[in-house]
Amino acid sequence: MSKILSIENLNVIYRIPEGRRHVLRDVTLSLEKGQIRAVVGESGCGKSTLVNSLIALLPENAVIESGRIIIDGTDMLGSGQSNMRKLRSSKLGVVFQDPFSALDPLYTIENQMAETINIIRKTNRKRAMEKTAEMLEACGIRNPEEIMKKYPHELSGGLRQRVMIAMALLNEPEILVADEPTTALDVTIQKEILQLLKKLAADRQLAVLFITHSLDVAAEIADSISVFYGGRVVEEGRIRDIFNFPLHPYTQALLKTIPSIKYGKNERKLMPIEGEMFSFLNETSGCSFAPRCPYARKECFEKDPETRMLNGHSCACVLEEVW
Amino acid sequence: MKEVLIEVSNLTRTFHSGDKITKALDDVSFKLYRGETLGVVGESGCGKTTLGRCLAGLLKPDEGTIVTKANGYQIIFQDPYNSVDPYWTVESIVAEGLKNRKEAVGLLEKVGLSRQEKNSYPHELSGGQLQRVGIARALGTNPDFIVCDEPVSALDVSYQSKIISLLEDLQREQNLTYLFISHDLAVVRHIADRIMIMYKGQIMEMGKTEDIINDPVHPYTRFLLSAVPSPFEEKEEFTVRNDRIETGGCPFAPRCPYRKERCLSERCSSREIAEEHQVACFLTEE
Repeated sequence: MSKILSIENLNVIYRIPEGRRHVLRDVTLSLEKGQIRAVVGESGCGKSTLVNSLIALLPENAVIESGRIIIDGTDMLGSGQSNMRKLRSSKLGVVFQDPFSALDPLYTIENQMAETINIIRKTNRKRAMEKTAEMLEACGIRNPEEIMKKYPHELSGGLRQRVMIAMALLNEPEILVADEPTTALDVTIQKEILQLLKKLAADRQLAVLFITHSLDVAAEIADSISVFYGGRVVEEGRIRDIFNFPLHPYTQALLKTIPSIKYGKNERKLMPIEGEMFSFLNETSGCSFAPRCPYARKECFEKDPETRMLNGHSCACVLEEVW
Repeated sequence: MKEVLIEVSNLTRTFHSGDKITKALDDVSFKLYRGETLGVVGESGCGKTTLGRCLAGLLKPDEGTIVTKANGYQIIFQDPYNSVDPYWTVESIVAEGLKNRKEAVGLLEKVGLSRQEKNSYPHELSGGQLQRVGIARALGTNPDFIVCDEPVSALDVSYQSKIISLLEDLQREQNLTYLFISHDLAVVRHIADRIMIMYKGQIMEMGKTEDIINDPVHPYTRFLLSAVPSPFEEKEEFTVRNDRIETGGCPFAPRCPYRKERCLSERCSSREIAEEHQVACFLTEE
């Protein structure tokens, strides 16, 4: 398998009136062709900042302070603005959480999709329409010609998300970034979309970076997981390792706090994670999870945890016990 | 012997928008027992919120009756930010419905908020803390029945379990009865004694939580359960059709793989197939 995306020690800073806030800290992750990696975390963990850094949609007060984003061998941050645009538009597709606000309500599906093709390829309309229909069909839409004539409001949530995925794939990217693509959908539709993404990854060797807040959804779709907390990758590994042998205290706590369809009333007590969620507004030193961590020691509050790796499973925690 | 707290019979509610008529509730009948949690599960548009609002007195049904022995009923909403006034302090929000304003502090403490937090404004609190305010407000009138309309869906997972545990503790202490509306079957499995599965305004199946999760009978319930993500579990693959046909009978018939002709023309009434287990499907006749 070959590496298509590699993010190395990415640090992103937000400037706010109160000072500088370190929102991504030494984020490192990689993606191979045909691989699906889930990025799991709660609100404010930095997962949206990660997506925005990848697609260069960071707000004006944010700066990438250091690190590299290497797409197919080229460092995106090192190349110039226009090169970067070209690279991104041909190699990377994005699907957002809410398909309704991501689509233009005044354009029919075919018009917004053709626009996407034309910006990159400058083909004639007939060819663009053929490509659009072909891609919609690949995304499981059985009557593409009919759907293409419609406006976004005439489609159901599931169909809109399929259109979004088709649109993201129009320029045959090698990487698809899916930012909570099923959060707004019902479970039955969610399952269809997850199956579609799996199929695309397998058939087209598409690498998928799947952002989600749900460990269960991650387990359903991904090969590997990166768990985010407080702007840091606290744990990373193959899906079964993360579920069966979680190392980081946050991952362990997370697994004990989510209700499961397997256990009924009084069969299992949910263990809450004490304390308040990490917020970038009150910056602390040391491990971001330390204030809520049941095992925290003095050193946890003082120095940044180092990431250690064992058998392809990595964890950023200073405690010896976790190993 | 279980005491029936609320008996709902033939509840119907339609919404009109232009020429389109939507039956949000279509002849819904069931009983709620005192002290239990009844989970109401279904996808968007199945009528679960309309049902909750009818039971909380926020909507008038077109037809049908709700006979209740409850001394007061309350509702907790899904989105804690949009269900409170942003210009009021937390204490005022809870005190509004109370005769004696001083009780508000006690209620806030009961749901796990500290004295300092009573003077906070909603934007100063996290979603989890604000949902506690919503719960304190609901407890203010001493209800014995509370409609919980997706109370944890908008919260981050690390807050979800705290709110669920709080609701469970309050139920135990005050013998509360909950109608717990959710689209998340894992949450409902955890909290509910019984589950009601709704589809397009009708009850498809209803029974004890264990029976619904382990031995679902209605094809729609099986379809819904097959879609729930649950790590590393072998699950039933349940494939549905996608026929665009009109149905005057079972609302799930156009998608049901076991469909027979009569499913499209005749409404199947609920049959009791085991103790406390009702299913509205002709398959159960065979």
